[in-house]
Amino acid sequence: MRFWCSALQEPWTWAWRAYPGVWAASAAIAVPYVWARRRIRQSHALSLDSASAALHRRQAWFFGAGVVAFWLASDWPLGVLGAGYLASAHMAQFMLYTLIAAPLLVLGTPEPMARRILAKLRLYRFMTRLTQPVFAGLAFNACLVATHSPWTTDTLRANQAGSFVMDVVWLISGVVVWLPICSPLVEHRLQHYPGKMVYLFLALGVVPAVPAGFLTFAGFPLYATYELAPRFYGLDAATDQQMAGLIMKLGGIPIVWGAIVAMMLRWADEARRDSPAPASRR
Amino acid sequence: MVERFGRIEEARGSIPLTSTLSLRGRSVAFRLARGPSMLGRVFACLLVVGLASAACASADETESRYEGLAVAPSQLREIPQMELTDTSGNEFHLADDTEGQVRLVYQLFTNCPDICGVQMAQLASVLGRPGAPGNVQVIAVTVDPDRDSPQILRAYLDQFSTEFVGIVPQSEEQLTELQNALGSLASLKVFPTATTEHGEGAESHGSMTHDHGAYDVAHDGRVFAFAPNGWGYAQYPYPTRQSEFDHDLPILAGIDPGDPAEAGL
Repeated sequence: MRFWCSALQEPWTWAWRAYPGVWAASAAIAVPYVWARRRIRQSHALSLDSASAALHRRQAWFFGAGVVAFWLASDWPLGVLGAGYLASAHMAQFMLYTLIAAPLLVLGTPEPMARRILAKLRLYRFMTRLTQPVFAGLAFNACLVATHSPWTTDTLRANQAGSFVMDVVWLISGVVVWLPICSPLVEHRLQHYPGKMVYLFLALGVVPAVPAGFLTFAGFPLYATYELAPRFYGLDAATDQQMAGLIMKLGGIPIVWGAIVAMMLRWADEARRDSPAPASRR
Repeated sequence: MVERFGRIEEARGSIPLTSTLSLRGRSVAFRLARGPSMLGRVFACLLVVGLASAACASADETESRYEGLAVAPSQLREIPQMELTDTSGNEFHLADDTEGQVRLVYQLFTNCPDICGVQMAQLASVLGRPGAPGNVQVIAVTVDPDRDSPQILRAYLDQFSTEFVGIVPQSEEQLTELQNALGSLASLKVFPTATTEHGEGAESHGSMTHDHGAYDVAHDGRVFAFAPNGWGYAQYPYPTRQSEFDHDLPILAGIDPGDPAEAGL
């Protein structure tokens, strides 16, 4: 039995494999959350109004969905395919971690929980720095470029510990990049919609296009791991790599632009509400 | 054979190591200018050794034009002059029927769980690229003629390219003769348990039953490349990257059929 998905160097089969490390990691995210939520609910039992209760329920759903996305990205079959067979699956994993699991986990974290965690770990000041849009954007894109370089991918995907590190780095970098947009702490969020939209476009829409272009237009397969892996249903390495590039380039569009459109609508709505009512004619 | 691999791997592997040494040595040279200490002398020695190694490594590097394993001049072999049988049942003369072409000879079996399919896919991808040399012929020889009928081998190769020639040896002796002529390792049937390849049908050992249809074949994973002049200058073990094939094939394809053996070294 293996702890985490890594390159296997054996033909792909649809035979299910157990990866207890993935379950343990999913549980390590979910269990403390459930425990902390219970404590928050107990301490706020009397003071919660119906709106706050609805928010708490919604956050629980978001967090649960984030854990499920993390598990889907890490476990068999996507985890195995991404670790050792297909560059396109590897890229799908990256998108799941950074664009789906990470923002859902952030959205699902209640403010008191986030404050307590940061206070206990003495990370508040560090997170205040890190959630500066420039730092967050740079950190995410540095991780993106570093973890998609052929050397890093081939080295880390070759063993379980390396593969685990890569997946964790993706998740953490995903959390970091979303914090200026939807951090549970209001002071860590960008305050104005135009800033949020520009940040989202630059951090998640521009830089990823560069490695995506390399993958799509490279003359040869860049990753030895996927080039030399037993073929998955005859899909050749060059086509697989082009698919990976397209997933990186286009896969984020619905999420990034969906979020931008949602922010524009909300901004327009707030502007309409804030504007003074037109004077009635006499 | 081992000696040849060792020499080539040594030549490949020593380059980055010695480059690093020489770089380190260069950065240390600044300290030496201020006043040589014992540490400085040690570093100076390292610098000299590093530079000397780098020079040797670059000399080794210029020896080979190939990114694959270059065959030492003393160990060059010509393409075997053998009459074989292709997947259509026709006679196929390994040398004469491919004259003037680069011949990439690879041994495989269709039940291969790993490298055979990868090597074939690599060759198909490289040869399918625009600008790939046109005078390259892939010749796939099955090392498992018991299970790989001509039809099965053809169907297997067609997954990669209909241009690949499939060869089914007509006897164990013919396969061995071809392997000897190529300078390849002999193939060996590997059964899941301690049964041998001799004997008919299923064989029972105690409570366990062994199916003779379920076996693996250990075989030489190298692609043997012969230039149009018939000489085998390079070999490509697993794993060989597509970029390496792409680098070497135009060099091999550019050798004229009438060129002497030295032309491809």
